[in-house]
Amino acid sequence: MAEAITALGQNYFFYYALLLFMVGFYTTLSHSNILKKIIGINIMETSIFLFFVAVGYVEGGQAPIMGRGAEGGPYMNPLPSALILTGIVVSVSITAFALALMVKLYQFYGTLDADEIVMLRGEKE
Amino acid sequence: MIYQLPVLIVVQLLLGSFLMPILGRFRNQLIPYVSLFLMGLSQVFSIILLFRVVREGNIHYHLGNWAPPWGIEIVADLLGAYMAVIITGIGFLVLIFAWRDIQREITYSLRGWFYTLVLLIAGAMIGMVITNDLFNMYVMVEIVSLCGPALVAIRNDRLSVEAGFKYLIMIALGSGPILFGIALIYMITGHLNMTFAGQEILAVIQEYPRVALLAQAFFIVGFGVKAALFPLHVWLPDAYTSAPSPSSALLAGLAAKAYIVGLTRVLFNLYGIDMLATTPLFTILKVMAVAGIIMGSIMALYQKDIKRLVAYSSVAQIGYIFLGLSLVTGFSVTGAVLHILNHALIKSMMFLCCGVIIYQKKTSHIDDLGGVGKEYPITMICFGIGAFAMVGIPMLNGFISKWYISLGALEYGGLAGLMYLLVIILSSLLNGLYYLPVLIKAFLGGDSQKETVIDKAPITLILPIVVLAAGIIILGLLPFVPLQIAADAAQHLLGQ
Amino acid sequence: MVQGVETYSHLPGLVVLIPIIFTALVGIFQKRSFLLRNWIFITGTALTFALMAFLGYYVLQGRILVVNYLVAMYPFTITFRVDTLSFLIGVVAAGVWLLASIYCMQYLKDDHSPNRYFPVHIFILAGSLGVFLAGNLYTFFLFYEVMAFSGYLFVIHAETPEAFKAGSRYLMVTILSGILVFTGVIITYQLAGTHDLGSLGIIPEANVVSLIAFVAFIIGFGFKAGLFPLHTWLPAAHPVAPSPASALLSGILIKTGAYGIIRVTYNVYGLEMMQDTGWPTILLIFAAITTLYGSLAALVQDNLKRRLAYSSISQIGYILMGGALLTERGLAGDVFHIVSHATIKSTLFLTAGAIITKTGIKYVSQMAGVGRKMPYTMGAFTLAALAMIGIPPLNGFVSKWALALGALDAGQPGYAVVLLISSMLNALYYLPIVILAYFRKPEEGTVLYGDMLRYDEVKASMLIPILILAVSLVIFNILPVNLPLVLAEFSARALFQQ
Repeated sequence: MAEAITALGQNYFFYYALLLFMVGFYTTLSHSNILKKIIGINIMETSIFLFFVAVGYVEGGQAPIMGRGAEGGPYMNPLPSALILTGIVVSVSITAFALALMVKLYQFYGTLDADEIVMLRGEKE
Repeated sequence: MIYQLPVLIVVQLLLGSFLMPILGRFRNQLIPYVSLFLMGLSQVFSIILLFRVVREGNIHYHLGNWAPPWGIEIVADLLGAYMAVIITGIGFLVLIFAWRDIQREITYSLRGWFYTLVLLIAGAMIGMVITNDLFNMYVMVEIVSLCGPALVAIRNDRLSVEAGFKYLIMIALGSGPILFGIALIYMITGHLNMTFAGQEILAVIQEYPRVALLAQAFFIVGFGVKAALFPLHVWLPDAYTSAPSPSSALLAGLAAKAYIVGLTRVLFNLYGIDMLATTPLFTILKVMAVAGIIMGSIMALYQKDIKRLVAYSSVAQIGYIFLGLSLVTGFSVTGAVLHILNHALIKSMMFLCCGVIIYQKKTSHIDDLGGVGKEYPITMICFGIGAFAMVGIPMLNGFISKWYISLGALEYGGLAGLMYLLVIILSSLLNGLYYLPVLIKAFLGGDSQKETVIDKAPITLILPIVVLAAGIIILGLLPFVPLQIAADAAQHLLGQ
Repeated sequence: MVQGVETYSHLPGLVVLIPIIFTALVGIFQKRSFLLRNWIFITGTALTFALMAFLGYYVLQGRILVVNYLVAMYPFTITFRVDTLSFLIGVVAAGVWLLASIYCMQYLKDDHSPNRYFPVHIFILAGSLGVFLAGNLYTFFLFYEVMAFSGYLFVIHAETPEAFKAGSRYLMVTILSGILVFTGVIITYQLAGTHDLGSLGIIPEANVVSLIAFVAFIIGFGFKAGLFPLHTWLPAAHPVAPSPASALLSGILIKTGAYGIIRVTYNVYGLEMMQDTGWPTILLIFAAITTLYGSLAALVQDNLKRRLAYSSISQIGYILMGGALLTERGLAGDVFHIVSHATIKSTLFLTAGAIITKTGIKYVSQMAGVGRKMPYTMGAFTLAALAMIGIPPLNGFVSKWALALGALDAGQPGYAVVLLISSMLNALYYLPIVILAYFRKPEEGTVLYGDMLRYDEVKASMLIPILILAVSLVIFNILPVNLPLVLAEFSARALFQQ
């Protein structure tokens, strides 16, 4: 029991990220509002960024920058942060694209509710 | 030069795609030629690459000369090079088809962007199947994933935008798990290079068995959504139906397969066949594949729109490929790898045939297709060849993959093996049941007095279809080369 | 004659290739002029027949012609292998095909879409010869599927709603048959590691899997042949197809199923395994039921072609029974009956077609007086009917005799009794037609075209094929050496070599 709690304590960021991931996933799937779906996806991606950065965190570590007094000491792992920059770019492009399509959808259907859009679509066919 | 090939193929396509909008500013009419040239060049390079790989084994390339595990490593193995040839070959034909077709389907201002997207998606797909770096693969997957919905929504009408949006949301939901899976792998191994991570996993698996398993689950869900593995396929019918025909051909014929190859690379390179066998992965995949084969075929039976019918058939065929992979016997994996090629040919040809019909008749409803075979005999004969290849008539390529996957099912052994064989032949039966009525309607329906005439469709629409149909027959009669490659690739995957 | 000297020769491949080439030629030239088309058409079938008959020169020397194409593609190698059995059935098929081709040029003169019929007609010849000459299961399956799917165009030729309904049923049966045969082939290949038809028994051991394959083969071929519970497509398809097509469907195409069962029983599983396991008993029982059911059902049909179709079902029962008895004489009877039924049933369907074109009569009850109007046609019909019943010296008698001897050899006299009962039933449903046609005057108001009592025959190009076929029912059996019987006996002996 105590071990489990310790493990939980040490890896709290892991569980927290997973929780946030689920929240995002659930939001996207359950809400019929298109904007909320997009927000859900963003939450989901953010949770992963959080997790990835946390993986690289070293207790008491310093930023691995040359000539800033970090020689010899423990470093943070810089790679996850660098990767996450790319991840953020990807996430932003998905968001931007989704928002653009959302605008289009609003022009075509006059609503942002996915269920209504499906209904309108069915009528049209 | 020759060792730069893998990266050259990808880079020229990616750079070319960004060239298109600039070209569009000044010389709009040049866009199709330049993109065809780039795609053709990549095709040549891919074939050379495949030759090299067949003769010399895997080609390793270190991007920026940073040796792994620090730099990004590109490994062109048999499966990747083979996939690259398929992608560029079919991409080339689709581009020829698109030349005329998009003049009807896409508004003037968006036409240049179509070429951008095609080159981008082709480059990213090749990148995805030859990279050996997890994060690099993630980026490539994301590019393909973003291009997919864009290729659907580019038709810019209410149906395609809605379908594109649904597609985008679904595959964005798929991207999250993939990145999470990569993060988990990185957490326990400290590597992003698949080879190194794979070695490290062996060492740490005792310590973190559940994390490794969780990452695996994330990969399946993520790639499964993107490849439309049943029941994660919900976006597929709408997307393929409302997209412009060349886009449907690209997405159904290539993108889905590229994801499958990507997943295969991740799973097999990372975990290795021995470790995978201890996890429930293959059981899950088999169940999903079988369900996909049956449900996809049954859904296809009830479709009234020809493109939607072909789209549902894709769900079944994706299941077919996954079934072959997840049976993990030599024959079945050979069959699956072959079916990647065969189905890419068949499915893209069928979507292009639908495209010709829609181009000419402006309808895709099956009830309106009576007698269409007499007006457009070449198109519909090619469609028929595709349909018979799907059913698995010998001399057509579908039979070859059916043969190997069935052999694999028997090799798997026992009652279960026979059940999988039953599923395979059931799928042939259902394929026949939903394709043949379309053919009968096309050739025998409508006005029976009407004489057969030669297709009036433009040559650029007919040519790619005929080439693909010829490919189907040639690969059905002389499957030697792809068969060898597939068998070797299967051996590599299974570590024999 | 000594079995077993293999000779490498491209001739069998050529036999299959010629009809395919001529399909293309017919397709290309038929738009120019129909006379040219007819000549090409006849040349194609005649050439095929001639070449097929020429193979007899080698086969009678006891040689087996073998040819392999695409060897590097193994297992997708196309192999032809002509032994006595293949030759006998192939040459009969090509011969009947030639006669039906001559017949159909006149029959389809005013047809609504001859441009579809003629290429298909000659193309299916390639398919069925491919089946009969196939040297491995892949080749067999390839041509089997080609033939079966093209057969759909025969069935729906009339383009009436009934034809399409029968066509859908045919297509369903074709697909089912195809996938079941595929199952058998793939299991055989997996178990045996080969799919060659050249040896007597390639399945290494009898177990559940090989039983499943056997059942799949039997059901798959049973669909095609019209084995009892699987026969439903047959009576639907025959009446709607054009008469030459029905003649070929019934005379040749359903025999591919019977031929497949022989090959599977003797070449894939081998006599020894079949005797040890007793699996063919399933087939034997169903074949007996088929025989009786077909005869009984034929009794109550009024539609002439439908009656003939049910008669075919009952005859297929004979054929399958002969193979399943697992005795040499039974198998000889089986093979000989494939040949004799091919000729008899083609005669019957071609005469039925002649009657339909000349008088418009489709029902047995309207046939009064046809014998006077069309004496030659009806004469051929009578001869074929008598052959069907089994009157010596017609070939139907010879095959029944051989079959009955086979049943006695097998110690199953019950099946000889089945043959006897079925023969009586044959008499019951064929003789009334003959009696009606010759000895009754037509009732008022039943006459469809022209005077039923005045001589009015079909054109010579339709009559001659019928008469040739009718003569062939007798001629071989009164010659000192009954060549088909000798060949049938010989092919049976070859399959019984241990």
